[in-house]
Amino acid sequence: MEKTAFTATFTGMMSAFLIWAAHFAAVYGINGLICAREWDGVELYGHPVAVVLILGATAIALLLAAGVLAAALWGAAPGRRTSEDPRRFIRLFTALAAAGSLVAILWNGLPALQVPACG
Amino acid sequence: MTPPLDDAALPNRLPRPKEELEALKRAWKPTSGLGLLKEVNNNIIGVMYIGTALLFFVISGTLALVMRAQLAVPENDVLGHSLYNQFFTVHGTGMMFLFAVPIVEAIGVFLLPSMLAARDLPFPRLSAFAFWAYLFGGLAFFCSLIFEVAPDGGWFMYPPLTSMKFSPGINADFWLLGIGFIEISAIAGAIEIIVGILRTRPPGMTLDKIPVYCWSMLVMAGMIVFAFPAVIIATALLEIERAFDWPFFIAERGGDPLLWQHLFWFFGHPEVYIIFLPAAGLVSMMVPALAQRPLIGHDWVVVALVGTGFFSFGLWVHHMFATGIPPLSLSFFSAASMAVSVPAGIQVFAWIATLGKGRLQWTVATWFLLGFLFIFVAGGLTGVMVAVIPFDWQAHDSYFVVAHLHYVLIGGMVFPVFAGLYHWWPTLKGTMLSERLGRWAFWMMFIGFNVAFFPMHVSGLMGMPRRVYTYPGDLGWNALNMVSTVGAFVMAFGVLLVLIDMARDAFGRGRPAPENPWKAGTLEWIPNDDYATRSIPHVRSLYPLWDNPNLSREVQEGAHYLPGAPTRRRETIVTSPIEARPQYLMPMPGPHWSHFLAGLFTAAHFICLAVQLYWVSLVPGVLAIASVFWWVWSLDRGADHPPQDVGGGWRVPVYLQGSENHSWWGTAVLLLVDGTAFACLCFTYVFLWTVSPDVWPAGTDALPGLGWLFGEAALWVVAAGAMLLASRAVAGNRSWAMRGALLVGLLLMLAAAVAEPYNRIGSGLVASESAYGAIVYMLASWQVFHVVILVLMTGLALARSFAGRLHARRRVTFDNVMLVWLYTCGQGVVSLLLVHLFPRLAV
Repeated sequence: MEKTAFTATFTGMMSAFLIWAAHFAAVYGINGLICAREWDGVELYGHPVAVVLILGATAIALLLAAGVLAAALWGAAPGRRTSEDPRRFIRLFTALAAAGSLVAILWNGLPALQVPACG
Repeated sequence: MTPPLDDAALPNRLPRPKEELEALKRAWKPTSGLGLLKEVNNNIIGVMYIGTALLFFVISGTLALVMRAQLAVPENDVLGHSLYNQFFTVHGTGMMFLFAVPIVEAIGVFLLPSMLAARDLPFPRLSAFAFWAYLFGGLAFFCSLIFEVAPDGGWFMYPPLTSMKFSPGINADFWLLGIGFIEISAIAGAIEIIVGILRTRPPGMTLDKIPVYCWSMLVMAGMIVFAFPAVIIATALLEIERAFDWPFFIAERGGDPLLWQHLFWFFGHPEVYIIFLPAAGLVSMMVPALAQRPLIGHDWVVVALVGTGFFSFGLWVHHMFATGIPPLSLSFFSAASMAVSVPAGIQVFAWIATLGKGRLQWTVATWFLLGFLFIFVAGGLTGVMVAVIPFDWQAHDSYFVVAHLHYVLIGGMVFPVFAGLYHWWPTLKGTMLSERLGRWAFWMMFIGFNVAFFPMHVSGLMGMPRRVYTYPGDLGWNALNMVSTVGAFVMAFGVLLVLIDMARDAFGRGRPAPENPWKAGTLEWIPNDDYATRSIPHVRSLYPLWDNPNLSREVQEGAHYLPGAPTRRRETIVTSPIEARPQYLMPMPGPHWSHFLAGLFTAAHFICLAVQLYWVSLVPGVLAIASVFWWVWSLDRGADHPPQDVGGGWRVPVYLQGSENHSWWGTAVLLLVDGTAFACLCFTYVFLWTVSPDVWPAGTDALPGLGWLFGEAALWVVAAGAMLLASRAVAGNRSWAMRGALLVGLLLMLAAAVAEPYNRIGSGLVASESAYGAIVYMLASWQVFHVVILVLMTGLALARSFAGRLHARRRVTFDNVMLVWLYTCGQGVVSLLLVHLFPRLAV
């Protein structure tokens, strides 16, 4: 554990929040560009391009955050780690962050289903 | 590698030799009289920092009282509209930039080392420099009111109101240059805090045993790193527009005032949490002590703190709902605004549950905490209301928003800070503030606050706009405003009582405090001195004083780590960032004039710029740089002592090179700040293109040929290669090869940095003509600025090399220069790719 690189551990702990941030930047950027360039009339697979791209980005972000959650829970089964082991905290932190980010990503992506992209 | 201690063992045997404590005292002996200006000890700097922040709080609050007097009755004439605009701008700016952020950093400077049982924060001179720059800059900022040249565009300084056309005087410059540079001091503090928390924890304090307050400060400092560069870039762009007519925000030439709002609020909304999270951290430390039981849901609270820090960045458009942004985009921010209330709520429930389960001590701090909970929850609820877009459209720019923001900020930050003042006062000099005066102060503040600000919700809903200096008497707002004014004065009287209480203590009327008066469980309650605790404890739990009732005595007798000053100078233990294992003994700089002079001259430089004494400003500018050189010259001493025994079987070196050195970490965090600033410039480029594609070149004819791109990029890459060669030369102690490589590399970088503006001038691009020209030259100027910095840094490295202070076994200075150098080269290539390829690829 001592030799574990700090950067890797810390990035791992923050990964779900970083995925949320990337998703947020992506959907805001996608919608801003579509509206600025007046592409809101364009359709992809029979749906407005903004909806398809934003829901696609949301699905990818959800998958990634779910992956982080699964990785954090992996190996955290009772008995495998003592409560004194800092790895227990790191895994718990990562799992809670991933669960929170999953909800936040879904919550942020949902408006695409009901709000017009550019008004 | 030494195995961890078993529970029974103490790191050092008792009794300790008498001369050990004497050496420790001698090394940490504070200066007195004028020597106070040289001092760097966090116990002294922290107190001066907190005192200055409170002074600026009182000044800003006094401005608010004058404004409330003006608004007490309709058509009043205490203040004219021009002076009123200056008053509300200086009040808001003072409270946000000169009180709220500095005081949370100041409390951190004072409290963090004792909570981590470190002898000091890792860069004491940086803290001291940040303090002096803040003091001089802040005083100058407030003085601008005396001469009626204070900024008058609101603390948010929206253009075009603050552009040269509508604010032709120097008022806006005072804000842009004054506050812009004070933010640099906030960043200095953030670097100090991040490295301090990650690297100077006591042995055994693994990530899961870090006190919640330290987590909150870590999150706050991380947020400063990623939020403050946005406002620094925004202020730089607006100042450059005002000084050189580069149109970043002028719509007629392709700029956009909304760009300011994006950059400002990308900083401005996280700013609210930068203020709130440390206060929440203080609450999470006080609640367990006052309830005499561990914080319920500690791990959840830590995740909630970090989550709040992240989510708060997704809220900036929350302030721009009425600017015409597309509805789906607004929805993302509305959703994020509501989402952020969840982690905040987790903390509130954890505090209530802990208070409910414990045996509550009814101290002044308890009352302030309960007041905080009431007011902050109310402010949070109105926050959810203004996160609902249609409601925000109704309440926007009305007194409802004034009420909401004061409920959040005063409730969320001022009340916890006052609670903390009463709670941690005994750690200052072993005396306690008056419980009786404190309770009076609390009730005056609590009642006064609610009487002042609750009616503003109503006056706002009745249509009273914010920022008006007066109003007609027939709109139904008269009684509400009079009540608000009375409340404001009652609250101010409460604050005055606290000041009187503090003054009583300063004049020796404070009660002596027993050791650990609230029976808290964390390390800051171990009695300490100028050298912090006598020895650095081995930590085994979140509440070590509850876990081991003998710990305080063991530490005071010197049974734990580093009970003396083995190298006869100031030093602390640097530990690994995850498991907190001792790594090396860090020598710490002592009192010196350099950081004081650097702070003084830096402030003078920016003040000269603000009052348009451009040539004169060069004098303090050069003196400030010289002071910094003087400051750093004596650092990076190398392994001038053999490895030292610090206890527990740990024999650690006094110097480590490479990525484990604390200054390498400081530079790495600084580069995160730099990278964020650059990202803001890239955002500016893309944003301006998005809103004004017509000022961008339509084809490749107006663009420099791709040869320029490849040629300039090659120069940056080869310059980076020269640095890597220099690094190898240092490792081999080939000094002349290193010097040669550095000089060649510098020349290559200079050529690359100058080539870009040169070819643009050659191709006829004019910065003042359009937003496109302005941002292209801005990116080029950014590179030139970095190369100038590198010329100075490399000059220092070369001087050290000639003085025999830089070689294979003493190369921390070189490694820091190398980090900045390689970053600059990478940034140069990315910048080139953006400005040369984007117009070719953009649709």
